[in-house]
Amino acid sequence: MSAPVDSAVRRATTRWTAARRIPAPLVALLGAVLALGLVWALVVPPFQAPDEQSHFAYVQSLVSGPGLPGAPGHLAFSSEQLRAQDVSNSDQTAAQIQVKPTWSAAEWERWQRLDDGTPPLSRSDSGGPGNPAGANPPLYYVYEAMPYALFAGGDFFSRVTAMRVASVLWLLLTVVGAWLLAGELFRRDRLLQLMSAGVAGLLPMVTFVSAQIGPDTMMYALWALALWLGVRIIRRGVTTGMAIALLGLTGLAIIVKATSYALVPATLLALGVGLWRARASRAQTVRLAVAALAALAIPVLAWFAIARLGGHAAAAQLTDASSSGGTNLRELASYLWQYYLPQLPFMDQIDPTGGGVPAFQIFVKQSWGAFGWLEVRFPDALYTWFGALTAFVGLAGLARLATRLRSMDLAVAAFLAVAVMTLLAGLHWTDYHQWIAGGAFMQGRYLFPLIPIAGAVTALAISWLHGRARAAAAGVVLGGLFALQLASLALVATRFYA
Amino acid sequence: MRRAALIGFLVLAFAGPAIITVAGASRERTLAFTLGAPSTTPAVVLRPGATVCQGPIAVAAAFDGVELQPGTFGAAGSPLAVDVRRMSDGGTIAHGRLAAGYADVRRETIRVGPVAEDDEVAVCIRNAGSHRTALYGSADAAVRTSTAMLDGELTGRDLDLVFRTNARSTLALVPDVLQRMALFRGGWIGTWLYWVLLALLVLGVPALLARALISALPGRVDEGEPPAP
Repeated sequence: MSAPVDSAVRRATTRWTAARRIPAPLVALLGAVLALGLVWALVVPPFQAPDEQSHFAYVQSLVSGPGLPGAPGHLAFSSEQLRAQDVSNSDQTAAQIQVKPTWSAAEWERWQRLDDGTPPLSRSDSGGPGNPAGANPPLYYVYEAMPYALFAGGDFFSRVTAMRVASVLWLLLTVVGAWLLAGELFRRDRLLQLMSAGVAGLLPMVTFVSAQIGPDTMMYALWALALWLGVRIIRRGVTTGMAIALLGLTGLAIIVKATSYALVPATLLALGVGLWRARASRAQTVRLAVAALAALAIPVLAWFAIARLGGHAAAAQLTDASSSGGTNLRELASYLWQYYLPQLPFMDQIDPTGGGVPAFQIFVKQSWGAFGWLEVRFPDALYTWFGALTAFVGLAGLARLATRLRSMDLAVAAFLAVAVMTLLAGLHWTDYHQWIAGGAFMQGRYLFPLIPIAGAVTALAISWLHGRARAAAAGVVLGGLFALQLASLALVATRFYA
Repeated sequence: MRRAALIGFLVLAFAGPAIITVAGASRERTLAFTLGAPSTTPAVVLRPGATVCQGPIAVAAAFDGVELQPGTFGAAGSPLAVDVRRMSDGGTIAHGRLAAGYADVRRETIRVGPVAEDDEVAVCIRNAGSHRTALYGSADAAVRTSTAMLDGELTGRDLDLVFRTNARSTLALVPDVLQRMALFRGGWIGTWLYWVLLALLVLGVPALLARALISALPGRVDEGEPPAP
C-alpha cells in the first residue's frame, strides 16, 4: 500500500474509532433532540418567540447594516424586516392569543414576488438605536451572521429559518455538556447520564427557546460545558488545557450574554480547588492561573475595547440593574421572602407578577410551558401538577444527595451550589431593581443555564430505585418528556394555525 | 429490566399522542381565519343608514359566516346588513343580515353564504335600523394591510372581524394546519416538509428515545469506551 493511501486509511480508522467512542445512548438522544429542535424551529411562526425580531435585527445590522446596533440615522429594524413583519402579521400576533399569523397562501406568494425585487437599501437601513437587544454582547450574533450570510441571496424568511436551525445546534452541545457532567457526577452510569441529558434536551421550553433566534441557546451550551469542566477539574485535577478551557468558556459565555458573569465565582472556585489540590510548585501554579485568567479576560476585554471604540455599552444589563433605584436591604429581604413564600403580616406587599407566589408564577409556569410571547399556556390546573412534580423530584434528589454526603466530594457540591446561588442572586438583584423602577424582568427561561443541574437532580431522584424499578422509572421520565413535547407542539400548533 | 424500561416508556410516550388524538377528534372548530384586530375599543359608530367597509381582506380560507362585536348603547340591537364585496370590481359575492334585538357588547355571527379562498374582499356593514350601533375593533395599526372606511372616509380603525366556516374537528384540520405552517418560512419549504417532520415526530423520535433507553441499561457495554474511573 502506498504511503498516502496508508495515511488516509489510518485517518479514516482514527475517525471511525472516535465515532465508535461516542456512547450509543447519547447518539440516539442527540438524534431525537435534533429532530425535535428542527420541528420547533419550523413550527413556531417567525418572531413569535420573546424578542426574536430584535435578535434578527442585531444580526442584520452586523451583516447588512452599520455593524453593532445603535448607529444614528438608521432604523432599529430594516424596512425589509418591517415589511416582512407586516405581511406575516407577526407584530399583531405577538402575545395576543386571539390574533393569528397570516394564513393566506396568496399573501405569501405576493410577498415572494415583492421580496425578489427588494432593493439593497431596505436591508442596510437597520442598525439604529432602539433595538431592545442592542445592548447585548455580540458573540451569538456573530455566529448567526454565518447562516444569515449563507442565505443572503435568498428571501427574508429563508434567512430567519436558517438562523433558527443554526441555533438548534447549540442545543446539541447543551445535551453533550449535561451528559458529560452527569458522567462525572454518577461515574458514567449510563442510565443516570441519559436521564440528566434527557431532561436538558427534551424539556419543551428548553427546545422552544433553543430553536429560536436568540443568544440563550448558546449561553445554555457554554454553561453546560463549563459546569462539566468545573466538576472534572475538581474531581480529576487541573491541567493547563482544562483550566484554559474552563475559564475560556466562561469568558465566551460573558460575551454571549451578560447573565454569564454569574458563572465567574463558580469557575474561579473550581480553578482554586484544582490548583490547591494539585500541590504544584508556586511557579507552576502562577503560570497555570495566569494562563487561565488570561483565557477569561481576553474575550471580555476585547469586547470592552470594541464596545468602547464604538460608543456601545459593554455590560448594560449589569449597569442598568445597579443604576435603576437604590437598594433597601430590608425591602430586598422582604422581596426575596415573598418571591418564594407567602407574605408575613408585618411585611409590605411585594408583588412583581401581579398575583400568586412569583416563584410559581414565573419559575414553574414559564419553565414547564409558556410558549410564543409567553401567552401560549396549558390549562392553569396543570401547572399545579407540574409544580408538585418539580417539588417532589427536587426533594427526592436532594434527599438522595444528603444520603451520599459522606462519600461525595464536597468541593463538587460547593461548585454547583455556587453556580446556582450566584445565578439566582444576579437574577433577583436585577429583578428587584427593575421592580423598583416599575418594570418586569424575570422569566422562567433565565434559569435554563442550570438545566444540566436540574437533569442531574432528576437522575439523583431516580437513583433511589434499583434494578427493574429504576429502569421503569427511566422509561417513564423519557416517555413523559416525549409526551410533553407532543402536547406542547399541539398547543402551539392550535394557537397559531387552527 | 429492558422490558420494564420499555413498558414505562411506551405507556407514557403513547398516552400523550392518544390523549391529543382523542382531544383533537372531539373538539370542533369553526374558525376559518381572523382579521387579527381584537375588540379593544368601539371602532366606529354607525348611524342609521351608514355603512362601514373593512378591506382589503385576503381570504385565507373559505368561509360562510362573519363574526363581529356590536354595541347597542343599552338598547335593543339595530338590524345590520353585511355584504362581502370583491375588491377588484366591488361586486357583492355574499350577503347576510343580523336581525334586530341582539344584546349589547356580545359577539354575533352572521351567515353570509360561501366565499371562496384566495379572493380579495371587503366586508361592508350597513346599519339597516333606526338606532345607532357601535362596532368594536382596534386602532388602525392592528391590521396594517387593511383598514375600515365609514361612508368612504378613513376611520383610523380596524374592525374586529372573525370569519367562520362549518364546524370541523381539530384533527380534520391537520392538513390545513401543516399548509399554514409552511407559509413564511422560505421559498423551498413546502407542506411536504411538514408531513416529513410529522412522521419524524411520531415515529422517528420515539424510536430514537427507545433506542437511547435500551442502550443505556446496565449490562450493555459501549465498545471502545474506557472503563469508568
